[in-house]
Amino acid sequence: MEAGGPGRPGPSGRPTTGPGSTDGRLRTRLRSRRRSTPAPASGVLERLARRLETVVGPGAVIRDPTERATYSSDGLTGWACVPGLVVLPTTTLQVAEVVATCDRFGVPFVARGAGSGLSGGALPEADGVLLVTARMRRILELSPRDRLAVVEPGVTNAAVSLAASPYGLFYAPDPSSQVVCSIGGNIAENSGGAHCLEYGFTTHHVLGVELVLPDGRVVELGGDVAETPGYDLRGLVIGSEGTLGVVTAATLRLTPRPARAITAVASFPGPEAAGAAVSAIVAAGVVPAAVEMMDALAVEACEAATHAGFDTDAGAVLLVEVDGPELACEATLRSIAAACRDAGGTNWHVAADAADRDRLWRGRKAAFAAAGRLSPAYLVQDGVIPRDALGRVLVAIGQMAAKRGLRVANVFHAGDGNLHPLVLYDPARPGETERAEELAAAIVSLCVDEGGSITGEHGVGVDKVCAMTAMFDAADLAVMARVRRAFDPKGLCNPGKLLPTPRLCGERPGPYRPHPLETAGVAERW
Amino acid sequence: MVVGTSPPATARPADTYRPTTAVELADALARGDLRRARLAVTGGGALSGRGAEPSPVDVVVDTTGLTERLRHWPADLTCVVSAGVRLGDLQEALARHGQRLALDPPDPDGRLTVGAAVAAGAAGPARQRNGAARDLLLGARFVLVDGTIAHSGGRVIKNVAGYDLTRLLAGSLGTLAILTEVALRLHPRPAETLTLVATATPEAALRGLEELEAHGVEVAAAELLDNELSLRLESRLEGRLDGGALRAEAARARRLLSEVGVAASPLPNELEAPHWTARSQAHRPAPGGVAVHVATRRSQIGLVEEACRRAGEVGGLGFHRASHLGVGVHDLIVVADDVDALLPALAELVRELGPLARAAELIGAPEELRREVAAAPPSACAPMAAVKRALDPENRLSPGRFRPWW
Repeated sequence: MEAGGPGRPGPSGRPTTGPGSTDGRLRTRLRSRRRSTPAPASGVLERLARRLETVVGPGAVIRDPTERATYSSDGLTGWACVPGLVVLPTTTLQVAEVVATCDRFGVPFVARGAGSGLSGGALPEADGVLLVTARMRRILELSPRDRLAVVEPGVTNAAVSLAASPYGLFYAPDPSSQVVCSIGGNIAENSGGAHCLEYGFTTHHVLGVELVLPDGRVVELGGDVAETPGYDLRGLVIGSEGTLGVVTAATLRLTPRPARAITAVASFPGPEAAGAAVSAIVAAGVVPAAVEMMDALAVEACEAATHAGFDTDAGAVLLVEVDGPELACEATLRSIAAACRDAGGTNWHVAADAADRDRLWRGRKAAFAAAGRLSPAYLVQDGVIPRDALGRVLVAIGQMAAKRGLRVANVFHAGDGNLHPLVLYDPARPGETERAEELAAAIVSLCVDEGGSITGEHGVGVDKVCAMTAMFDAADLAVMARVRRAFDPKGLCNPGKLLPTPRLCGERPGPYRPHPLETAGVAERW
Repeated sequence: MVVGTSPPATARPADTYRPTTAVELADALARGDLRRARLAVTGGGALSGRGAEPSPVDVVVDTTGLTERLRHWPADLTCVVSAGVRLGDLQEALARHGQRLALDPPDPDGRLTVGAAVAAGAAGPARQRNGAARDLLLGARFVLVDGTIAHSGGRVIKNVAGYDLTRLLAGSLGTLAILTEVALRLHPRPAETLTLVATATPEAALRGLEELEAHGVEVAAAELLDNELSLRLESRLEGRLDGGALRAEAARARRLLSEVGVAASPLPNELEAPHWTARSQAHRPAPGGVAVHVATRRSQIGLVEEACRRAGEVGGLGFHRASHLGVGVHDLIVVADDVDALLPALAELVRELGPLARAAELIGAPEELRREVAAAPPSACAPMAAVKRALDPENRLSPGRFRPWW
């Protein structure tokens, strides 16, 4: 076993004490949230509010405490903080003016799209401004021939594909929350989606970005063409979690729909066998559009919720999708079927038609929300491992859970190694909440030890800011801080996110609670 | 033969320093001989012709000695490789497991290193499906001019932890940091390929590509060299598993193309490899030549052709067009016996391109041409300069590469 990223030694090279050591690096966090920046003088927010009202109009500045409180959390509801002010601009110039004003007043600001993020990236600052882009929902241009769309940041991910659909095009990154999540949020997190294995992530599909810098200047990064002169600041800003400025427009690349998409499922005696099948598929040079895995617990939950027809006797289930030209699809599918068979798979079923395919995918996507049937509470985790470690890691997670008297349901994107273990627990039982959080953190440690990542798609935000030291050493983080300061010398742009500080890393979030949209059945988590 | 301008005379020519490990390099930068030196970085010649000529330096850091690591994880389709490893050597090692790096930039003398390809933001015909160097990067290890060794990203294909400094470094022409290792996403080598060639004007060629895409044909590469169109189809599986799918797909493609007036015929298999090497190489100017590298919306290729034609009339010189058809990136190449003849032709081309020239770059141009035909600074010039200052406050690393912007 070797971890070994660029320049990194394997586990044997890791120090046993001090910063970066196994013991010290993933610390528990307290429930209350401390300020990330010094509090501004009293009365500043009131003056700021009056000034902002002249920029965006009184209807777009929210001062009322009850209304402000509805913006306290994003999708990571264990963290909450009532914003000092909420502002809803509608144009780039308004955003620039709002940011410039915050800069002048020395007040921190946080941007929020749909608030569906899962790492607390849009968690507000108590004495700061929450800049919500939800009213910037226009599609400014759609050019089928040039395969591009220019959109405002509040446009939902699904709306882009919907607008492109009449032209046989779609917007490829498809997070499960795509009906509600915003393009601006996708850019902040470099979102993926079920089909990212074949199609890539947001960074592969954004040609250009209009960005308001933390001092209010507006710049264009990239453009409507494949290459632009100078540094790739577009690539840097994508995935920067709203810490380098506010995106006010994006030029997106549209993709032609494949000729055919075929979905299939297979049953396995356990996660290890299913993992071996995935490794075999990858190693055989087959690139499916998507490979999803569910273990027995997850299948149990989803069948109870949706009756999608998954095999409840299976130790694990694989859901595979291939797309492309018809004949190539069929050949690829045969190859996958063989790999599954060789790994001990049974009950191979190819979706007979579109309805069958939809049923299978609905089942898969419901597995997460349905986990509530298995347990009074659960923690969602997001980690990545190399694909050749799948079977081994799933077994290890099972052992780690058993040792703590807890259960873990696994539903995840096996094709790209992105795990989403659901740590099930009962907060009513003493000590179980703490054990669950410790297990969730230990799983992320395991991912890093295997050469993976602390986050595959949810981002670092505030949730994993203290885990950054597991993946990056002091020099790495110092370089990132240098780059951040180049954009935001005053430290006002989404402070307290992404990069650890001593002040931040003494805190711990509350237990996981489903987002209201999720409970209402409007959005899936992932 | 074009005579390039020589840099102003320095007290003595620059020394060359060729480290074999990142730690050695970092040490020299932090504590040793390079501590206050101005540096240029070289590695396999990919950067030659790109960017402005560097300002005078004290030491040239030759990265071709950084070859200590090549770690391949075939079951995860990833690898980590030292920056000084030649791209050709990497491909050979990966091919032993039936895999490849889906990057085929021009590499005429086989000296191109992985690090140089990344620093130059290199790309070739394979970009149609797989993108440029930036799209295949997973992580990097690099050394700053003050001797700091740092990492970004990781070695797995999915990872959003931390800033994507890896992408920032791609295409940065060695001005922000010296790459010592990169982690790369790999792809299976296609078991079979099939190349179709046709004669077509830019408009007809683009229509043909659009027709194929509209019918779900997966085109792995689409190059237009003047009026010669080359399309490559690839199968991902061994022939027997593929079941003739590739040949059927090629027949379907030919039918679709003929319906829009493009008569394509298959190239014999044994001619495919040299054909595509040449199509990649066609994007680089030969010695004595200059290329205008311009990115456009792909539907604007007709405008590019028109601009070339009119500019060619003015100078009496012809421009060759090498286009990555599907992504709208073109290299417009002109060759002349002397600089004086080149300048009016290039100036006219930039004028004819009009707003399209805002995303244009000169490659292989001597300094006086570059000064005359300078593009406007990018919109984000200020934050770009700020990033440069953050990582190289004294402007010691490849100074002047982005002259006159910073």
